[in-house]
Amino acid sequence: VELNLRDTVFSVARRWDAFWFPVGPPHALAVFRIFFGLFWLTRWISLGHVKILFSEDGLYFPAFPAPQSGIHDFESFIGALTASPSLLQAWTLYLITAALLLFIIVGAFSRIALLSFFLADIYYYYLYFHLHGTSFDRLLLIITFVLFLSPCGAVLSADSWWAKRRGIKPPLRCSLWCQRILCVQVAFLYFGTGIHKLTSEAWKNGDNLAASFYGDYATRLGFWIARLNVPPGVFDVLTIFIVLFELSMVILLFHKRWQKWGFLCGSLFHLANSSILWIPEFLVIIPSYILFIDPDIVRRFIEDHFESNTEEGGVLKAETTRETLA
Amino acid sequence: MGRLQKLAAYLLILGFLYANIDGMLLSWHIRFTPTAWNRGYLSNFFYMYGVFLEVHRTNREYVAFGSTARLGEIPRAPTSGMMDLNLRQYYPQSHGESNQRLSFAGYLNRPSCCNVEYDKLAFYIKRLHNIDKPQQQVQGVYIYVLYWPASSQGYYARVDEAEVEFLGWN
Repeated sequence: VELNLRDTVFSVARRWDAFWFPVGPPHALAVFRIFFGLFWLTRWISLGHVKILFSEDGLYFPAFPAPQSGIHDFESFIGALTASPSLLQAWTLYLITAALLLFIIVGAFSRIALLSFFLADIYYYYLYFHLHGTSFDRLLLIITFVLFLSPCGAVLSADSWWAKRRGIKPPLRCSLWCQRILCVQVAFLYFGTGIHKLTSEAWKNGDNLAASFYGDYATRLGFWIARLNVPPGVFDVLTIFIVLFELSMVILLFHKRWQKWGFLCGSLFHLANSSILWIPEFLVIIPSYILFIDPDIVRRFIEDHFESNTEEGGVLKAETTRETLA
Repeated sequence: MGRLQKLAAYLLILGFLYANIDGMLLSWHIRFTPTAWNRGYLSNFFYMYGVFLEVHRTNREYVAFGSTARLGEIPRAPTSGMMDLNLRQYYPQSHGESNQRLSFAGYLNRPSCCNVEYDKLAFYIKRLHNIDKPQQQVQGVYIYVLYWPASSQGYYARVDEAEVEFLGWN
């Protein structure tokens, strides 16, 4: 019995370790980095009302006031950081942030760019985004931080191109614990939201869903659907489907056979969500699905479609085949 | 991966799991938080699961009105002599996002918003308006919110039934 217990403990520990520290090529992370950067750049351009949003000449409501007597904690530090940004300062920071996003997309100085963007995002969070109190702003901060720790700039990037020119080969396999964290965060997002809806009074029937079609966030399409006078029972059933979908995504996303259905349902859900409601920010979840796919499959796909015609691609492919066989 | 790196990664993973589970438990108002975590900027950081917490039954619109002279008494509702300053032009986002910002719902460490914020907002609007339109200078700016029943026929379908609430001025 003692031996069995020890074996069980070791087995669980091994599985835990294998789950959190998979080893593989970082191509999926790199693809996600590019989409994440593009998503942010689009959002950033839409926030181009620099004077009104980000300067003291506009609607200036920082989260913490400027400290009266020096910096002694996080709040006073942020207060000092966000104290009275002039219009020139606001424009300079805005343009630097846009440049950082371009660096992230092309993968130039990826880690430095991601860390700088993370710090910039913290600054903007406490200067402006905090006023919304929305979950996606916090989610985007978490993703940025995890991407900074990850090897997402090691391939499909200007960094890897420069490294190749200097004779340094891109890493074929590395620890993907950051990729796993991102996957778990996405799974938590679905599961937590499903659990919340399951237990919330507001989601006990379809009323909340029906009202969201003509609420504050509703788009024209939302209002058009609302005017169709769909029977309330349809929203009751839809609510049940949404809760079941959100709860089951945890299994669907991680299960190799079923995950394509998870990707399809999730994509449809987010596309429908952002067409009916003015909340396009959650569209960033769709490209994150690539992180759930076996990293070797992603790498092979990229090599077959984008790198096979080059000499470097051929070498990389040969090495991949050798490694896979080994 | 070196041992130290792995240890750091483990600590980060455990912290990440803890924060997410703590965020999920918040849905039931259950918390197991150490004091260090229980700060305004940290405590709710991973709470991202509560969406559309209430059934939407009321529409609202924040408005700003200006007067060319200082008024002796603050009008509790916009009057015919006041100028609509089109507050929406300073909030280029969608209705939902603008209303969220204007309600100061996410203002950290300030769970219930107070008129001080609206007084400040009135000051900013006055400054922006007087710079943009120097020929139509205003001396006083008053912020109100209109509430009316939501309707599937359109956002403003029942705006005629709106009730007005005064929020702040400068």
